[in-house]
Amino acid sequence: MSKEGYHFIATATGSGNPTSITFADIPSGYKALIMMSAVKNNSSGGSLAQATVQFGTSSSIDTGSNYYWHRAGSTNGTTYGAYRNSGQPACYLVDYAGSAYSTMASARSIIWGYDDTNQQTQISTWGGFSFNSSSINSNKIWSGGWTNTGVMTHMKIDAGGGITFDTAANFTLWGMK
Amino acid sequence: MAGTFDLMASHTVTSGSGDAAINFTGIGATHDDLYVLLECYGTAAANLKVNCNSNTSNVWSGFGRQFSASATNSYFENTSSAAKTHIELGYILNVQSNMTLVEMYFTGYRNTAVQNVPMINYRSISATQVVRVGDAFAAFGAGTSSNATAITAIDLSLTTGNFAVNSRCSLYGISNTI
Repeated sequence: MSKEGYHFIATATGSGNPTSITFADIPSGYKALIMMSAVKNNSSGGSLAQATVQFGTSSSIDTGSNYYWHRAGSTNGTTYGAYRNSGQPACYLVDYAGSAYSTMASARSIIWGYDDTNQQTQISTWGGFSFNSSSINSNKIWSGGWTNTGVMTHMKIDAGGGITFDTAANFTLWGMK
Repeated sequence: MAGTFDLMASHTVTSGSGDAAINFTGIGATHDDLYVLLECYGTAAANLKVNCNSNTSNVWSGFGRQFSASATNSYFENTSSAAKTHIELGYILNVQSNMTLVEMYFTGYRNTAVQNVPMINYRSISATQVVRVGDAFAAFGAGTSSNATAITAIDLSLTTGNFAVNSRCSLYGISNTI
């Protein structure tokens, strides 16, 4: 067994169709956290949804306007210019679609500075999805951060817009040693 | 993930004045690919310079795209330009609270056949927006050398200034079989 590389921390699914999932008590000591996401929502509509991510230093997730983000990419075949925003209530994770489409978004996130009190927690996600014979698709690079320099131990993934995750949604968190 | 990633070397900057370079040497032909995870900031805002085997001849070329604060799809480097002494990628901030993260994969680093020149695939991210408005940045791309030589050393430096204290870098070997 290798001592290094990806070490499994936790997995969470869309079982029960939650509006959000939370990774709690994330251990310190990793060089970075890696999250692999397979995302789909339970809405019968096909409209594009955007999952968001928030952090906390305890079981209390910070819902204040303490996040910033930056993104570039394309949505439904249209390229969008790079854009940034600050003073936001969350960072974005990935665009994804509803149950009308038999496709899931795939994303890889890397989170760093999370246990370094000299650094803010930052996250970058590269991901997207495509659906055959449809103009529904997205590919994005998201990066962002949380202005808090405390040790991040909790991370909440929200389906966005009050919708719920499909039962097939899956999030797996790894620590990089 | 038994046998997939093995930590080969790591370096943390401890000097208050920073380190001008991070060098990994004596890399053995023990794995299939190499992975470098760099989390750093500089004593000055700079771009990252990468080359291998201390080869500073004009054999390096890179191609990538960058997404800066509000500019999209600008080229970071262009292969139409002359070969360089290094592969250059960015963007390294000089803000400790918002270090830049860089991931680099060196695929087939042991290959010496011309058609299998070792390649670097990279991406770098700095998400800073609060401390220094406008510095949000992401880039991805690839680079290579015209010199088909197995990689035994990786040399990282900045276009200006030093890697600042508490910056850290790890080199992993990746095995494709377990």
